[in-house]
Amino acid sequence: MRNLRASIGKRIHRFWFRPVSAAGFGLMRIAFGVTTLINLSMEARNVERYFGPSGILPRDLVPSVLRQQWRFSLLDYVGAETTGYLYLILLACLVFVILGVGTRLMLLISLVLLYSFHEYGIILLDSGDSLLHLIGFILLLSPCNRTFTLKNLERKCQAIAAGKEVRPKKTPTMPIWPYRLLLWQMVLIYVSCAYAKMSGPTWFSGSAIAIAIHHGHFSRFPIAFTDWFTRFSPSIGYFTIFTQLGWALLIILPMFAWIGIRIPTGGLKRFLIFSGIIVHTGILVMMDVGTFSLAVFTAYFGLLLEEDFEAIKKWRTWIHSFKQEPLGLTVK
Amino acid sequence: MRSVLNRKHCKEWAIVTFCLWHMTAIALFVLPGDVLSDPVVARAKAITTPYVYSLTQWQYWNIFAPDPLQRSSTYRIDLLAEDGTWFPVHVIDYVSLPWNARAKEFKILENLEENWQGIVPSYLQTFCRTLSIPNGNRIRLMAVSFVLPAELEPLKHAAALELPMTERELGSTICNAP
Repeated sequence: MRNLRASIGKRIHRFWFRPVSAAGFGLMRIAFGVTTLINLSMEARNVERYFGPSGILPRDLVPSVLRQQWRFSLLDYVGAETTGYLYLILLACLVFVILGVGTRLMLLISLVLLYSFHEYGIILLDSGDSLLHLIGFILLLSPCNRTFTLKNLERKCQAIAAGKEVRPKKTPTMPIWPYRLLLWQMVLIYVSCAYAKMSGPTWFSGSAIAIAIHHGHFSRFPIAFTDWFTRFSPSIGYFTIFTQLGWALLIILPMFAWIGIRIPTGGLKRFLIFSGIIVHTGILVMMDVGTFSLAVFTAYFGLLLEEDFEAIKKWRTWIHSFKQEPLGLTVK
Repeated sequence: MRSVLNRKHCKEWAIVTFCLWHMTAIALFVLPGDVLSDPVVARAKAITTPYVYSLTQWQYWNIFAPDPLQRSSTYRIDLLAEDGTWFPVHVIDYVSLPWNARAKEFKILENLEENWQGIVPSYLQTFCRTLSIPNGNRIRLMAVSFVLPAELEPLKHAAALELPMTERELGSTICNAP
């Protein structure tokens, strides 16, 4: 009985605290900073108009328009000029987050400000904004400051300058639980998205993608091209729903380990991420829908573990081998 | 040594408890309405919702779902002339908006069209300033829309389609910029 308890305890501990490479979260921190900066730059010319007390949402309308319970925004209490300063402070903090300088504090300030802007400007929020503030929260909880920081880079540069050999150090690690939070978040996004799509007739009839790319607010291409592209709408639509539902397997399959059946999911995760990259790149290229695709790519960085970096290295070597030996022929 | 171990143990349990709480809270938040009809689930959601809202963890993932938006609109700002007729002073469409402001501006306009009509006047006030319309003039926001067909075949020849256009006034205001 004691053995069983110890074994379960060990499994629980391993599930939440197994050390994994911190590189994925380090990359996600940088991507979060860059994507949020890009996102905020879209609002740069309209900060006062979007968030100021006499902008689109005047201060006196806030109580009647926005929820009053469990909501906090610094912008409820400041004037137009201060709103502009807070926006600049947010930009500056994000630069520090990217560089990994004072990361925890800078992330905390960034998030308080970002949430303040999001809670005030709900009317202009899109899915990209939502995903960014969710990623930011997980980053704040995680030790995302262990890799890819300015300090590490400085140390490397100093060693090179002093003529010391820079040996590739073992990547710093972190406990796996922030990864688990992120994976759960992504699974929820994809599965709830797929579930919502399955209740709409256009996804089943195959016209959903065609409608989206023909829409006057989003379409980047001339109508002649979108008309031609419509032939691919059913297959892309079904592929999208299929891969979105596939994310649920990343939660379901590992559960079999509790009954002694181990099903590795690393390959499936990489396939889903790769599919996601294709779908979201397609959205980014064809449609003007803000930074959602970039925010998703940001989250994908955090989902990379050692095994995924190894797989990427293998793919690179494989692709490189084709470059060196075209068509498998070597010239002697 | 023992107290250090205990502290570590407590910290780890706190982390696991928090993770489970957070995962449950956001899962309950995104659950579809039909699942929430279960009283136990509804009660659990009521308990976790304050946490989700307080930490800005709210999220709605109905992107292009259940169906993509079929109504496509361009927007127009009209000024009321002294003789009582409206004439257009500004058009808001894909071409007139700067590339980096399109997504945000259309998001606002879609929301104004759907369920935020109450703030159309303040939205228009910001145009009184940018379009330099003198105070005391009345302006209105018009949505000129067509509905994309839901079937695949007509969309293959959308360029040749003549879709019926409708005009709708979203709201109006009298310019009173300070």
